[in-house]
Amino acid sequence: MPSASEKVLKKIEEGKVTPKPRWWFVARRYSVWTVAVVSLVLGSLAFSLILYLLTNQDWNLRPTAGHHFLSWLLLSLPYAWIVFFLLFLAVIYFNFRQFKKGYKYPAYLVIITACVTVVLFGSVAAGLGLHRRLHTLFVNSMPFYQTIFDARVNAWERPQAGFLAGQITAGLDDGFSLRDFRRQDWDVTMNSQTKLEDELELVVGEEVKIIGQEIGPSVFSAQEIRGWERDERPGPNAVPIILQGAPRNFLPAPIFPKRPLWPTPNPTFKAIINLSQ
Amino acid sequence: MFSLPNCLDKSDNELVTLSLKDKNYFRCILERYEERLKRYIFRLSNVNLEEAEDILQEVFLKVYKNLNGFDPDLKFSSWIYRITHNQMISRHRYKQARPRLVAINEEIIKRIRSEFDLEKEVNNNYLAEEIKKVLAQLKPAHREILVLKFFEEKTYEEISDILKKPTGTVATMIRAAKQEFKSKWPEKRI
Repeated sequence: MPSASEKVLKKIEEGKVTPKPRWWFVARRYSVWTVAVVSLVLGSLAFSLILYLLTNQDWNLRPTAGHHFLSWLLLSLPYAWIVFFLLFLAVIYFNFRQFKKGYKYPAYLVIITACVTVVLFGSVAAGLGLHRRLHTLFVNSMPFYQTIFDARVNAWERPQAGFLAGQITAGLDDGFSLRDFRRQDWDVTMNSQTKLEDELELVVGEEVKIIGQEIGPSVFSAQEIRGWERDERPGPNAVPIILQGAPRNFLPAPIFPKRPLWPTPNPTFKAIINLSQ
Repeated sequence: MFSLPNCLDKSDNELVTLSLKDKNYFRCILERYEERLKRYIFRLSNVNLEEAEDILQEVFLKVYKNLNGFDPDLKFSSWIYRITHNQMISRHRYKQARPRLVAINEEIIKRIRSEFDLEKEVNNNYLAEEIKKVLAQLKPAHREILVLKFFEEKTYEEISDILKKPTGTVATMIRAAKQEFKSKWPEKRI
């Protein structure tokens, strides 16, 4: 009876079996590296976006909101980005394991190193302002980005608790119309007591968050209005692009011009809310 | 047809390089590893001779097809043991209890006797039978690591390369396997 060796040699001979070419292994090694590096970059960007959303949350509002820190934090965590962040970390980990000597390192060491690297690169990206650009890009190009990825929407889409946020769609005599992130329309009323965040310009297309009270069906009375993106306000020396000598609160273009998430009812109407001072 | 070149003086790594140029040299690798790997398969599973040879053929074919992927930084024996280990797992043979554990020679008994501080007066034949019985009761992963360490005489580094686990983990696994071995051994003899 032929031995296993004999049978193997026969199979090789008869089946014309040949070794896989060297390039196949080289390509596989490079693809593992490429996936790991791409995941590292994407994981870093996901982390920078988590940073952006967390640092743009209004943590000082917690007492106003009547929340414990934990519940406010749970409302504000950007879960979708956290899931992506963990997903990219997992891809980095599993690809690292495929490296030539990747299995030599203990799992905890690989995971900690991957975490530190991603956090470090993500912080650098945030320091360079990439997180803000990326966030704006997503907001402008993905219609449902904010409701899915921007956890602040959860905290601010609670009119019964006194929190409302959305985009200004038109000016009214005593306030403005607003469409919230779930596309419900609101009339927002203002009075002389309404506080406006410094340098906030109320213009059509601007996204704002409002603290106040729901006083009727789809009517909200504003006590305080803040810009949705805190760090998108023009600096003190910024020159409005459109006009000089315009009424107060008229339209300086945002640093990153916003494209409305839906068609503006009257695009030519660049409103201004005439605040009683 | 394959002819058998003179390869006794060639190292494993040289044979890999030569096999890529001339497939006749692959016969040398087969002859060098056939018995060793067959014993290894028997020590881990309860397959019969025919099944063991099937596994072995699959291993050798995989080795041949992947010769260009062999990393010379690794010992060839570690690489071929790794492929065998993976093949056993993919065939679901690994987890089957009661391995055959073929012959346990004097050398192996000596190593195990000194490692586990077994009673000196017990004769080797009896001890061999007891070792087989206890090994058969161990968790498959523990059995495998003890087989690699004491039967196949692999170093921690080699076991790490075969099982693709960090050396520290290998050390921990060996400790746990020895613990389990001792716990299963009839008390009065340890």
